[in-house]
Amino acid sequence: MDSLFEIRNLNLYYGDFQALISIDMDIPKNKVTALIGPSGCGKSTFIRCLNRMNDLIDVARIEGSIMYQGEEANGEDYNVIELRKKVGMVFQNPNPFPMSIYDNIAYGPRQQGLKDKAKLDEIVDKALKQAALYDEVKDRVNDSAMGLSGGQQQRLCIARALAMEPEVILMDEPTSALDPIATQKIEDLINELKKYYTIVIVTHSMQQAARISDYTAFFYMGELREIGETDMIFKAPKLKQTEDYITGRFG
Amino acid sequence: MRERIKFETLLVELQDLVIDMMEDVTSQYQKLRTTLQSMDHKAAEGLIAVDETINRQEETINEKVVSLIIQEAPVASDLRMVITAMKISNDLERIADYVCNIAKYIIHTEEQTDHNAMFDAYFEPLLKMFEDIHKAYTSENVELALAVAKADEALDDLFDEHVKKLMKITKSEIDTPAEEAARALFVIKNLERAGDHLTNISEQIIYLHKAKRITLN
Repeated sequence: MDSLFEIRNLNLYYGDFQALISIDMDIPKNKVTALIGPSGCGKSTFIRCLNRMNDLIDVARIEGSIMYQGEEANGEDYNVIELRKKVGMVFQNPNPFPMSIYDNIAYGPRQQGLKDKAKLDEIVDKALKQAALYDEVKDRVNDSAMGLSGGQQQRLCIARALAMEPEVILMDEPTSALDPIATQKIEDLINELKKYYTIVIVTHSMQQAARISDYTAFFYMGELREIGETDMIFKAPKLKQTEDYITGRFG
Repeated sequence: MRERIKFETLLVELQDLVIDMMEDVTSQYQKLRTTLQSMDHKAAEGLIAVDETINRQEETINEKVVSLIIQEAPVASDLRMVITAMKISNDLERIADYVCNIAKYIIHTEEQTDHNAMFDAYFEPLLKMFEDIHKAYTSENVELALAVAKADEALDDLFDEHVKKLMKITKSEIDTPAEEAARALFVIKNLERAGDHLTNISEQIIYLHKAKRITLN
């Protein structure tokens, strides 16, 4: 197993409250890793460590090692901007910018200083195609993104992340605000994207974790309690606590 | 806190259906034992009639399983409970079919032959296997499930021994004993197959409780 992230003894505190306790975890390359667990178990906090989003929270204090491609990404002098380019993120509620579809996707590359129209066109086209949105919007890329349906907006957010040519895509409950058809499209997309990207997804849907992920990690009260091949986790988890959670006996 | 009370109830109901079916099939073998001694045609017809009920039990279990999968999306031990209920009921249905086969033999046979004592030798071990399967299923007793597999080996040895005996007779020049021996072979073959399916059930019980697939047959 080729790991992209190697996390060792990761502890995270929000003030006095310890949200993550001594996490050891490897995240395999070009695989989908699903994080499951009851609300407040630390899975979203954990995913935000992977692109240093917790840096933006004043009271958050992080200890431990987050090795990304063999380099310590949790160091003071690590280039966080560069990390966030490589590790894109998609959130629970689609959050397109109030601008055109085209400008949403071109936003990141333009921020990086890219002005070449032909090059930007190429990036936008490619991102839309990769996010399986191209056919639906190709004739109206200059229309406002706000006019898209929820599912289309979420795929636009994925396209926006892809435009930065990331290596990892973090998804925090990306389908919980979507209907079953839109959810299906995102799941199909995830399945397609994992050929080129490493995906880490937080989900509250056991069935979604079972359908789309290769590995499943069960978090409980700030600890990573069990991680394994998704198939094994859902057939015969090692811990009773995991079993109780996935079978809906608590949560 | 969410304890899935409805789901728990459905699982218990499903398990109860399997247990009922197990008990009904066991009862068929108890009756078959006496019927093979009496060679009572009426009793044999009774056995065939009950088989219809057993077939319906299997259908009911299958339908319940499909509904449970659709409604509750079971995983882990819940999924094993549901899947094994379906497979065990399938084996039980087959085991019950052997009773029918032998009942038909009884109906087509006018009187007892020398082989009836031979037939009876299968029932002591078979009925013990039924008892152990029942206990293993309801009390998560894996040791008892393994004991069933062991008992089946003994049953197979008994069968081999009887086959040799009967084969000799079938080669006889005299028609009647040869025919009787051939028909007796058919009876013991069905009883031996019942043992194989009971062993399949013990495999399912081990999978249910230990999440491990093992081949005992």
